Amino acid sequence: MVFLASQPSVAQTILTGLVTDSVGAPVEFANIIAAAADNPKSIISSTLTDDKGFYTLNIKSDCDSLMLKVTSMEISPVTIKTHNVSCVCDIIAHRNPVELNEVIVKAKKIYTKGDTINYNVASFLSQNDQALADVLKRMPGISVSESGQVSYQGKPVKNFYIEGLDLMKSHYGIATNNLDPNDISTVQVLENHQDIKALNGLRPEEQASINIKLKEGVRGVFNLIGNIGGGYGNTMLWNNSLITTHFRRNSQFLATYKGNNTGDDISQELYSNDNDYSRTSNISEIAMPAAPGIDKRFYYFNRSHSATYNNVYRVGTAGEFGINAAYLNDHDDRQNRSHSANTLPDGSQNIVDEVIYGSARTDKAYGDFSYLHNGDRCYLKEQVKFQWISTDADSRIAADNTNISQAGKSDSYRLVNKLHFTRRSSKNGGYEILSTVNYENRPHSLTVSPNLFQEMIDGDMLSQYVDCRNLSTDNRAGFLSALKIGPLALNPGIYLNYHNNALKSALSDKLNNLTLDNLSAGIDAGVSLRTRKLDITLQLPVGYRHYRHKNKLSELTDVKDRIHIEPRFDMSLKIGSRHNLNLKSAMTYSTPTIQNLYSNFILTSYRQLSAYDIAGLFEGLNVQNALSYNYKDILTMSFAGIDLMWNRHKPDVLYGSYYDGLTERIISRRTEESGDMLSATIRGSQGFDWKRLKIGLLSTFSRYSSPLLVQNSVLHYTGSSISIEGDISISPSQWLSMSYNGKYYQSSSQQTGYDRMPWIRTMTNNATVDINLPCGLGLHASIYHYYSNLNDGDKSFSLLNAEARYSMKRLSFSLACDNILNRTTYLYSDRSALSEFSSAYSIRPRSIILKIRYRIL
Amino acid sequence: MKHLLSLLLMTSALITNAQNGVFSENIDNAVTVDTARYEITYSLSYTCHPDADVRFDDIRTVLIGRRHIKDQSDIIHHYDSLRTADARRGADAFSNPPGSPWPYEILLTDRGKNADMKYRLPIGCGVLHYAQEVPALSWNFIADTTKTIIGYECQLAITQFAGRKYSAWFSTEIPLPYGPYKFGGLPGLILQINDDSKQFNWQATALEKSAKPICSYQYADEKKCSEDEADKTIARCFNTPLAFQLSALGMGKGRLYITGKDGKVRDASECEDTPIPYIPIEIK
Repeated sequence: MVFLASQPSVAQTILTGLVTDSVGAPVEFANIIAAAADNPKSIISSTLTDDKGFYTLNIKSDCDSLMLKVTSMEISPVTIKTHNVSCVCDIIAHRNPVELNEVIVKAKKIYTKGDTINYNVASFLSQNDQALADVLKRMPGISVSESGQVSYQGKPVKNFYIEGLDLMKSHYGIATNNLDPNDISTVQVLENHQDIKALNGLRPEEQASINIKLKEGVRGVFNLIGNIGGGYGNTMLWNNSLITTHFRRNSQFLATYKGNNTGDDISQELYSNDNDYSRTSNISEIAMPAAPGIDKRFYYFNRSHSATYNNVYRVGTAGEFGINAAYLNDHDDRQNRSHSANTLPDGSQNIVDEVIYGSARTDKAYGDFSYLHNGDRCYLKEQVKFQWISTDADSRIAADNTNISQAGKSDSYRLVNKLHFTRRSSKNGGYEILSTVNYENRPHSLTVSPNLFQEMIDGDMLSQYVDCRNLSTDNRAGFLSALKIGPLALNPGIYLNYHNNALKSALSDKLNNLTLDNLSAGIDAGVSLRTRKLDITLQLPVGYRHYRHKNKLSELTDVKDRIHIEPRFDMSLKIGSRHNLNLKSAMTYSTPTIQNLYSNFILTSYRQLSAYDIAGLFEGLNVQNALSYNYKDILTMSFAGIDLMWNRHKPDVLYGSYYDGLTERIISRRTEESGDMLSATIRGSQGFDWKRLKIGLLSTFSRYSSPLLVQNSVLHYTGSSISIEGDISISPSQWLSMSYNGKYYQSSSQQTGYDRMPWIRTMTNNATVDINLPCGLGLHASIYHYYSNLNDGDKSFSLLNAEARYSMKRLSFSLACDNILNRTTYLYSDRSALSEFSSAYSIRPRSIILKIRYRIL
Repeated sequence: MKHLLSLLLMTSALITNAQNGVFSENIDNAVTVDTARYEITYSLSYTCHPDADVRFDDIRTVLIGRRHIKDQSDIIHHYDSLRTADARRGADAFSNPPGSPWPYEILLTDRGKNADMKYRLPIGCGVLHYAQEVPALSWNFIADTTKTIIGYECQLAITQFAGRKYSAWFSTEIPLPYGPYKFGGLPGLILQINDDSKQFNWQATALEKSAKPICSYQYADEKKCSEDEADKTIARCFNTPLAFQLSALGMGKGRLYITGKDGKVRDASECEDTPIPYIPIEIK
């Protein structure tokens, strides 16, 4: 009793009441917090409203008055002051959902659902990121090339979807380089994603695909972002762009315009990321300064414009119709001073010194029209593509005390039709038809003055016209699974391919007019064994090949018939969900190409003349073996892998060079020699929650040996190279982020019977720092460092760039200064096989440019 | 065969006093009960007994919907998800969650008043399914205490729950009266909570808006039981782990042999069944 009496008496207050919104509806499950009015941060008591908005709050405090605070995710907080006495206290609140502060929300960086790996973009985003590619580079396991090609675990992705639609087709570099990362919520990597629904569960897919998930407010909204920039760097500079997007449920649209003369290479994002290679190539080329191994924007003196249009519509529940078109106009001026040395069989060197001023104008246009039906039982993809590339170039060359001028024009026209039809009739049954028809025409001309080959071709000046043409069709039809016994399945198919190639050329009185027809047909027998962990496929195509080479000038015809077996073996072993082992092996025969069959001279460059003495229908043999191991652990954000590769090439004919001072002739000879290439690659990528740290590493060792034809002698050379590449990005705080990537490379080669050539060692380092200041201010600085031990004199070369940014709502400004140190010449050296090359390359001078970015809509 | 191999592997874990691993389950049979508005990720560090040397880590996901709150192991869910995708492709053997994630899955209904509990028994011995009432917790607010967790200012409150004293850091900046496990009733989200013996410690690592479905999964080997039966079964798992697993898997003498630390092979039923020191989260 004495103890109790000595305790200070604390009054108990009971507050009751009703919490409603402005229209009188009860606010359920709201927090009622009571604190002393003179210390509102110290909570005395709290409770929750019930389903009808009523609350009862017991308070034990001797303070005079109370602060009552009502909070909920659905209302704006309400604070009222009341006396500390029991009473009924009704409160009116305003409905206004609480927005969590996105900046400090820390979402899970990577998580999985089934075979889908989800990367939370906000967890990798930096304030200065302007394109999706910037943020993809920080995601462990993902890498992005300069052209915007995305790779997962070292392999390029197969498809690039936006909200499940394939808007960009193979030109997705436009999306990775232009989509605003702030509009994207999640990047999904779809592992083992079979994009053909009719093949689901029947044929595994090795390549991953990517799907971009947009933020809620972006879908269905028309976006228009404009960039305008101007500045000075020895000449007036401009850099403008306009990017518009509209992503809806049943249609998507992305269009861009870009133009600059500031060294940004906008042609790269127009590259196609599929393996749809061109069947013809230019035989003669206008000599231009070879690209040095530094970032292109430092040496690219350009005037470029590009416009792209990409649209896709859903048709019904399973159909899509897509249009992709682009146009590029580019003007490129380059100059350099170079020194080339080729080691000859006697150990001496043939040396050529050149100074080249070159200018090239390129126009490029492409258009893809595609229709896709992707049903559970039926898949149809019909695609028509056209492409036109026109290059007009000229250059002035001073070589070995001779002044040379050259001019050339090249046009390339291509029309392709691709059809893919799959019909699944039962769980394992069905058939598949694939067909490609390709037409190409590539006329090109070259004029050189003076004539450096007067002993072989008359005239003071050389003027040449070459036309290459290809009409081809590749067709395959097969059963999805003709016979299935347990995990074993037989997948037979047939193929029929026909290629018609033609080549015409005229160089003074040296004429070529020839055709090469290639017909191949056969049975593509395949056996596969599929269990959950193991997947083995053995393909044994047995085919007949018929070659017919006709020289229309001499009326000589050469015919060759062959039966070939070209086995392919693929094995994939999945060990748990983290480990994967792949083994691939293939044997193929290389087919004769019309580019190696002409017997009269063609000028392949101003100082290189070519004609094939051994102009026969020869086939080389290639054996390729690859073993790769992949590891991933999403929970720890770890990705790693090892790739081992061994390739053997056994050509029937060796092609090489005969050097004679400034001039060079292409020569050929029959051979029994073979070449080998062995490489081992280790790659790893680790993400951390700590400070958004990401570390990537790629190291490759390769060793090769190969025959080489020089001066009519067959030499043998061996070589080895090591490259180590690393990248680190980290954000130590909200206002600071840094990144570094570097590459070390060393290589050496050795001619049999001679000493090994000295090691060439090069290093490339690039570090960037971003500082985010309050009020939308930001600073960005980057340093590029290049080192080559082969350079005479200055072996190191550094370039420094800085940029200040200011953002306010829809508008952002940036003031950038490139090449602050105003370096004007880059020394570049390289060595491959038994050739050495060094050049002094003119680079862009110091420049200042002001850019304004505005989100118009 | 799958169970035999796993049990052999688990034997070493028993000897080293560790918590046993759990198997992945197929989650194809799911009923969506709500849609999450918020998703909070906690790192959970726990041990089976306060005196045990070995601590275990788990990543817990708490999905908060309009009327339901679900707390589950992200590691277990990740492997369940992989298993389900593999099973759809016709697989018959599956990967299991690594380490020792906390095997509780809690679905709070009626805004946290009732709990639909699932406990995944070790090495595929099944899933216990039982219902519990969640008592309203009485919190004492500790004045003038602040701490910043994932960018949010938090205050300290303490409570007694099921025989343990808990200290919770909550943030009124996030007016969600929830937390991990069955904790809630504070005027803000609990971002860190631990018991005074430090046997359990939850710490929020991520917070995001969400639109994920909150699902109630029906597992193939689920055993419906009362709260008492569940407590006794879980206790048996730790007190006589070998006997429990042998009986749960229907094995007897001569069916399973274990290689001991001394290299000798013995019949499992003749091995000494060493209890794993264990104090449950709810002491009662």
